[in-house]
Amino acid sequence: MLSADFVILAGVAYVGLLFVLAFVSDARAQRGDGGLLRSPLVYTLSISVYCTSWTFYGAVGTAARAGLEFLAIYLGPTLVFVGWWFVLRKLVRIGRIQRITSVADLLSSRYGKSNPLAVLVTLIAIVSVTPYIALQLKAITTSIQVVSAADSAHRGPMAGLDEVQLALGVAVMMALFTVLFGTRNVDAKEQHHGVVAAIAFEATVKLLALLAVGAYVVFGVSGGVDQIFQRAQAAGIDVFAQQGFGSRWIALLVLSATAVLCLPRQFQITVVENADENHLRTAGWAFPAYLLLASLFTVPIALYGLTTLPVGSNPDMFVLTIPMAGGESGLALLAFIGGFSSATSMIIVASIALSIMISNHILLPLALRHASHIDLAGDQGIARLLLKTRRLSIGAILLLGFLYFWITGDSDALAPIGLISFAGVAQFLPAMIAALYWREATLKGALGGVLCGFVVWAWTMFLPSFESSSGAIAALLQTGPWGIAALRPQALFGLAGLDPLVHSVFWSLFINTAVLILGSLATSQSVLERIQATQFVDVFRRPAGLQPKLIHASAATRDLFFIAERVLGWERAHALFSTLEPTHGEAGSAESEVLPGFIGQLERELAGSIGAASAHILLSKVVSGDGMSLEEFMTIADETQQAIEYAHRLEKTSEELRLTADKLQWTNTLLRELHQQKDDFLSQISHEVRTPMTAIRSFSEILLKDDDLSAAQRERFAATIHEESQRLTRLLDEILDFSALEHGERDWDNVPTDVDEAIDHALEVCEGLARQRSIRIDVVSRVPGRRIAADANRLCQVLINVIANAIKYNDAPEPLIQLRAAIDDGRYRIDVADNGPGVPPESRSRIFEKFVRGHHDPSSHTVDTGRGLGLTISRAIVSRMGGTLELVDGPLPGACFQLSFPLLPEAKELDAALPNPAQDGQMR
Amino acid sequence: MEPEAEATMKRHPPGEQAAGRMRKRQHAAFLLPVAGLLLIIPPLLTVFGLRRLVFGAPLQTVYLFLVWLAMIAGAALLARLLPATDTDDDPVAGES
Repeated sequence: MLSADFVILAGVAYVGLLFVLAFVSDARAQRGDGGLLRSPLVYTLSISVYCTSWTFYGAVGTAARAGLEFLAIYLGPTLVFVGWWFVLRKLVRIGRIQRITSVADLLSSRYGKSNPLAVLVTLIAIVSVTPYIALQLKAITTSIQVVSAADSAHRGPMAGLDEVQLALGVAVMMALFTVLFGTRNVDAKEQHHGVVAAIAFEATVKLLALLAVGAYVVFGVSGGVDQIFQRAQAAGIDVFAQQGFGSRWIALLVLSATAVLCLPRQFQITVVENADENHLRTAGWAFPAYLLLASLFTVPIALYGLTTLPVGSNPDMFVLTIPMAGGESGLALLAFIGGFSSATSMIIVASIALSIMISNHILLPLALRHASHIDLAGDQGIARLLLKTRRLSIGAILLLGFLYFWITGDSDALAPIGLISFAGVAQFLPAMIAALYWREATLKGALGGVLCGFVVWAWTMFLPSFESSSGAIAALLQTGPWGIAALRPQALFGLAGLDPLVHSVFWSLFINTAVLILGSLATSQSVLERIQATQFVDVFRRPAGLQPKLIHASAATRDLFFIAERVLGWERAHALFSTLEPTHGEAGSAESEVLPGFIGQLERELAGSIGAASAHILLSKVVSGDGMSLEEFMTIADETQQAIEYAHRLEKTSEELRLTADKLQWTNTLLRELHQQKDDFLSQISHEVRTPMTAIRSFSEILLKDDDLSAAQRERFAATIHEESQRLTRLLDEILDFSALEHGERDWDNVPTDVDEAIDHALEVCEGLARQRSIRIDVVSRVPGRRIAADANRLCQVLINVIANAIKYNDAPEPLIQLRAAIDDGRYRIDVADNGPGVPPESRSRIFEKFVRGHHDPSSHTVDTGRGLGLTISRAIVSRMGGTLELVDGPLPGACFQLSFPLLPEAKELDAALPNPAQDGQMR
Repeated sequence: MEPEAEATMKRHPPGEQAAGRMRKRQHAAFLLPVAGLLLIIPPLLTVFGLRRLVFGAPLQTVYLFLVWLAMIAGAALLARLLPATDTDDDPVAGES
């Protein structure tokens, strides 16, 4: 059996573990050894600070009371994270570039670095979140009470502590932890490695605890999901209840989606502590997966608790009481630690986020206003002041939370505080969305919207939460103030009959948004607002270095350095200013004026530590603006706007140009290739024409000049001239033929043609040449009567060319040519093989190109009638008939050319009525 | 014309469709949460409010968890497909 003493000690030990973990992580980060700490996994786990003890214990309670309604609290954030590419990515990018430190800083920075807006947002955050912290304290004390109530027999020395003392103890421990690790230094960006590591650890612990209890309930004691639902139905519970899915379901989705963006602790973890924008890529699916796992067993635990535990047991504590009732002390301890860790992680991050807001937006501006008598001197004077105020703020926030808990401790006013808190911070949403997407939103509109929304929220939701603890408020709810029924908090303007939550969320967000929009339309922006609006809305297409030009201001280096040193410390200030010197003429001159761009940069650096509004106030003390009028600014702003749009257009145009250039380059390469081929062709033709021309010229010269020639000689020379001119004519014919083929001028229609006839004809033509060189032509096999789509004359031309080649280049002692015709796989195939020298391997791939011959033997030149175009032409002809002409390995040692054509259907089938044209072909 | 040259002509010039593909993926990233929202609110949600047990649990509960799972899977897939976000355009990064 668990004892209260043991549980309290375990809690203390657990916090001790957190201290060690945070300390080690901080030390590692300091050494620059924080690889794991800055991983997307740690980032995702730390985001799950969203799951507080309200989730850990409360989700089961909600499931027990209202069925699936609890799921809305997790589905809302799921939608936001699944759509990270839009809102979250923009938020994180702005946070990084503008050095945003908190949600108040975000809104203040966007709306002209306004301090009043920052103060308002901070105050709303305190009012909404402090009760939430009280809720965590209550969850811890209640869980300890549950343990000690079951253990009344073994009271130890610590069981005597009442819940108030326990809560105080927890608050003090948390304050100590947060002060130690949350305010170590005022960073350039408010990042706390130790704290984030501790939060990620706590996230793992609470998930494991929930899953362990869930697995115990489903698989350990009840034997499966179906058993649980059957038993619940048997006990009279309607597991199909539908009451939750009306307007309340949607309101809860909206609220939870809003909360995951606007809650100060979520903003702190998601935006401010973000180390790398790409971590969102992982968190976008991993955080929803975490939420899914965390709520997987909620309904089974609730139903099991309702059916097995005694009537009247608090459903909010089922996660703890079920293992205790089953006698599983270890599991109960794990559950307690899980609930404890979910409460502490919320307290830690919420108090850090709130303390940054309080110190940056309320205390520091106050101190600056009375700067004369506050000690700001020395290295990091302002930074030290900030740390001091932050530590005080953390103490004050936790004290406030404790007081709230103490005062309302006996009532049940704390129970719905989670949703009340969500609805409170939801009032930031309209201004936040406008900050990201609506350039025209003004400070006055935002201030008015947030303020009105807050007032309506306080009236319709916060106030009624005290109904049970105050008779006056209960009466107010019934009759309205001064008896005005239209102002009744839960039926505002006569809107009665709605769920109180839906009623409040609707009115507050509706009025908030309406005031924001109407106010923005009715008022105008200041110079700074306009600049900041552009910076925010156009963050993804901001031309770098545009902003600095806008700030027409000047200041002495010495004054600026003085301020920078107070905030950043001498080292960082020096580093920052040393980047300035090379661009500046008189390096290091204290009186010299800095470029306006540098002031903008410095302001952003300072904003990373003390918030945009405070940084602006601080700098405005030494920077003298040159009194730019609104008209002047409008001109600049419009120019800027135009410049941005122009740059955007240019970007698009240049992208198009790049694509066009790519295409052009590609076409150009192609053209150059073709041009090269043309050149080669021409030079080869010239060469081929030149050889016979030279012979003709020299022989005709001899004939003309030399009269002493014998008749025989004359005849020989004339014969040579005649021969050479014939060669020339044939060459020119071939070129003409080829060119016509290439340009498709000499086109023909492919008609069914008997191949066998064409072969016979070709053999006839080549017979003379073959006899002249005493070459035997064997027709090994033939296929009579089959037809292909071709032109008979052209087919014949190809065959003659191939056979003539085989004859011409054959210098074997017993020259032989074999011709085979066959049907193969639906194609008509003709092989012409010879036992000549064959085609050398290096020419094989180029044999069909223009002017390439298989042989370069000069001795064969005298009988060479082809000019190297024959095979090229043949292949062009064959491919126009849908066939192929290839060089293959043949049956004889020499070359083998293979012709292959798609076969037409059998002649008999095609035109059975006609007389068979293959008949007389067979006779030859 | 040479057969090789003909084949080259039919090929598309490089890098023309990549931009269009990225645009489509961003549209998908927008549609994922919108579709998710439509699936988990009435009237679609009430369609599954039948009094029937699936895998031992009420149909509606199973349905909600399945939609949830599908959203997670969709987001995980898109996380791989969406273009890299540039993180180096910060004018003052690297000086602190």
